[in-house]
Amino acid sequence: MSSMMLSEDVLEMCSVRVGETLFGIPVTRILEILGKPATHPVPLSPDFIGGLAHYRGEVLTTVSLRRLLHMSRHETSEDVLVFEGDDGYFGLLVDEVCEVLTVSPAEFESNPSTLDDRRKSLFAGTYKLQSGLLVMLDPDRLDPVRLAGLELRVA
Amino acid sequence: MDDLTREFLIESQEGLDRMERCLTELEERPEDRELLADIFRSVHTIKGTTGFLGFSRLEKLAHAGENLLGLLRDGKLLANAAIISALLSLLDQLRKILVNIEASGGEGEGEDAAMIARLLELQEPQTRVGAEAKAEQGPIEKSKKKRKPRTKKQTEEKGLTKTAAPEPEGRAMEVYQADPQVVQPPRAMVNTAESTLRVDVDLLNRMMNLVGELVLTRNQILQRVSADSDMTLLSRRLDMVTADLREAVMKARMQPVSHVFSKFPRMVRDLAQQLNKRVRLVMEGQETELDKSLLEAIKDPLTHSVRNAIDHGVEAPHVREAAGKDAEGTVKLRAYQEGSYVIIEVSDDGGGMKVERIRDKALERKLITRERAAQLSDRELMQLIFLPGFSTAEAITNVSGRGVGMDVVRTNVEKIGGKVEIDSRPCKGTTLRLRIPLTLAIVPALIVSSRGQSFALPQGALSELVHLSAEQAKMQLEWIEGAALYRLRGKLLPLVFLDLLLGQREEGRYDGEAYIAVLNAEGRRYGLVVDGLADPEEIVVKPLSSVLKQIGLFSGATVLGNGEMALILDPGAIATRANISVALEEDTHDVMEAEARSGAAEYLLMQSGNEHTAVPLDTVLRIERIPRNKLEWLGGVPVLRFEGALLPLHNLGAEGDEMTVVVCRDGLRHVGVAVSQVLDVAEGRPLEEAGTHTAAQNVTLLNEKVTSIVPLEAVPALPIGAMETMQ
Repeated sequence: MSSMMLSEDVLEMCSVRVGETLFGIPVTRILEILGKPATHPVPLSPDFIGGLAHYRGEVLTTVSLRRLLHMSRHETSEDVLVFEGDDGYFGLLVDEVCEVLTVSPAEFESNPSTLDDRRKSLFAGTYKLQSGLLVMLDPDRLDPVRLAGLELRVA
Repeated sequence: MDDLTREFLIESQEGLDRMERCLTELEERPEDRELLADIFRSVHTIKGTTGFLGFSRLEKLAHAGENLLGLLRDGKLLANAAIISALLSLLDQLRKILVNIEASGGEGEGEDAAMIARLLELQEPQTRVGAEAKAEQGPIEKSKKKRKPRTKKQTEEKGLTKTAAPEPEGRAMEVYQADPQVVQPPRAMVNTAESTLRVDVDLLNRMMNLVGELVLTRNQILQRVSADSDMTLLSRRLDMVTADLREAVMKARMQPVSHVFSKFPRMVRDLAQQLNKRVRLVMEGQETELDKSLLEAIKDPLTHSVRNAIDHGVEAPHVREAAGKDAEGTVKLRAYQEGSYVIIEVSDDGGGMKVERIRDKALERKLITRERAAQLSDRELMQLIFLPGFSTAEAITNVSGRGVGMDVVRTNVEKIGGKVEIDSRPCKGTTLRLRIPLTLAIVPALIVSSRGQSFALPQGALSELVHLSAEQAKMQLEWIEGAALYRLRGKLLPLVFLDLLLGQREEGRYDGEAYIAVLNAEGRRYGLVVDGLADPEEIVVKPLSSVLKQIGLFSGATVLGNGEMALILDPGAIATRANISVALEEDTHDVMEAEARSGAAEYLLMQSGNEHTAVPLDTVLRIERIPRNKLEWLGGVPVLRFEGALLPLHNLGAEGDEMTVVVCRDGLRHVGVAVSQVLDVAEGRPLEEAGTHTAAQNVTLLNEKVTSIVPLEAVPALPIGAMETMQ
């Protein structure tokens, strides 16, 4: 993944905010952004599932980034980014979607060793921006199918 | 694979299917020239195309077959059992090669010389007949471009079935004379070919999905427009167009059951030969249509049921003769539509199910205890065959008894929202009845709520609803060490609390009012306790992602008319999770209901003042307790307001502050019947007028008492015109 990134000159990242942290996701991977749709809770679902959202006639399973990071629930409704995963589409719930940023491979650094294992497995690295850090997210790592496998192994 | 080859495969497979059907028919009517011409045409087409595409094995085989068929068609040879068997095995070989081509693009290796030699040998003149004898009837047959449908009554006279002349019309259609045009138009009919089009099933699925989406959007729009009259008009149009469109797309997905039925003549023939039995297959209602995906889903259960009927049902010829029956047994396949269900019956005129043997086998397999067995009635014992791990075949034959039991049939049918019922009489035979919903994509469901969240409960599994007020719930829910039970008409019904099951509530006593949805899933009967009920709705089923499927309690999700999303509960999975076991006693209810359909029907018995009245149970949608002061009058008609919709009321002068309103279906509209209280569900017997013997209208015999039936159609229509119907 990262080697592919490096071969490009500049990358466009959609920045999203969860809590205090700014995350970046390559815009090419985003199918659509849904502005604060209603989500429907699913009882007994794994903790990281943010509920169901309505997306183009289908029922979209969403992953809550907040809960992946063991943060408390967001009080108001969240924005949803739609990706294509192994098992069809899935959504990622974030506090809010911010602007699109341009980053260059030169600014990239891999995860710091001090990060806990959980976060290491979720984050793909960091871009050092002038204004701060942009934590890189790889949608493949957020696929609910993969996350469910991960939860099982932890359990 | 190129398009040409793909097209060739589809056409050849269709041709071979038709050939198979015709061949089994030919056995009954070896002289039918049109059948022969039809078979000849199928083989000829394959030969022609294969030469062109360079499939030499197919070409050689088809050529050998064509030669033999040519002689048959020209009347120089008379079809006999040996020839038909040879042609059937030729068919199998051709099919095998087609499968190879589909899988690998090549014909694969194989030895065809023996088959070709066999076909050549059969062309020898010992079976030939004088061409002159045939000449008389030949031209007449040939001049007919279109075959008339040849239906006949099921007569016992065997002579009739042998003749090819048109016979009196009748409802039953014997398979060997089934008109192939009903099933599939012969190639000769150019018009059909021009007016039809092959469509990818994926595209149809996508269309269905989009239509579902449109239905939801329409529902939401309809709920929002009420003020603006222009918008109301437009939304009405949208409503109608959507309904029509949905119907059209659903229709496009429908296929006649003959697609599945057409496999059976050959199978029955082969099986009967293998088991040394004589079996006649009668098929009825082949034109009945069913959604393609459902048709696929019932193929296996149906095949298994037919195998069972022949293997276990029909007795050997000498046994039959000893019992004074025709040596030839009859297996009947019948399909017909009943409401939003298609019923497929597989019946045989064999010895019926032997309850003693079923009981012994169940005891041997330790499926029930001896004490339990002694308590069960014959009917209840019959239900045992649906238990997993049950098989009564004395010897494990090639035919049945391979571990695929009736439980699999039932599970498969229930998976698609259907039901299986069985009825058997000693010496008379057994009838298995599969009840299949017309379509999978849209299902009627009851919307229930649990702790503020809505869930959809498919109505297929729902048998009745019980409402308990908070006080009643406290009194009437009974407990054995944490397991909740409810006495439903004297029998204990195990209860499952939905909120507890879904982790919405901690363990402990239930408080608040309770609705018990009495469910019957895969023979397991239990009550699902929810805290709220909404209207029944036709829901569009959306699949869940694999992660959520793993939870195991939801079969999908849907978007409701109010725009809210709801998870669809899977009654079978809930029963499994809650350790509900198969209830044998209550299952008989369904069987009796099926049996009762002939004369008696079930009614809801109600009381208003001192009078007893009834409504047919199948019209009842729900029952509500409503304060009397909610009753309003509109143009002389008592009405009730329900979530923005008006309900015309049949007021039987109930007294008291509260009244019970039974909401019934009358055609498309809903009608309320106000009574003092609901008493019971009972079976009604029709009554007739003394002397004239005409059936008495609007009256029935319930619990040995003459009871009047509320005439729902007589409830006056609302003066504002038709009520809004959601779907």
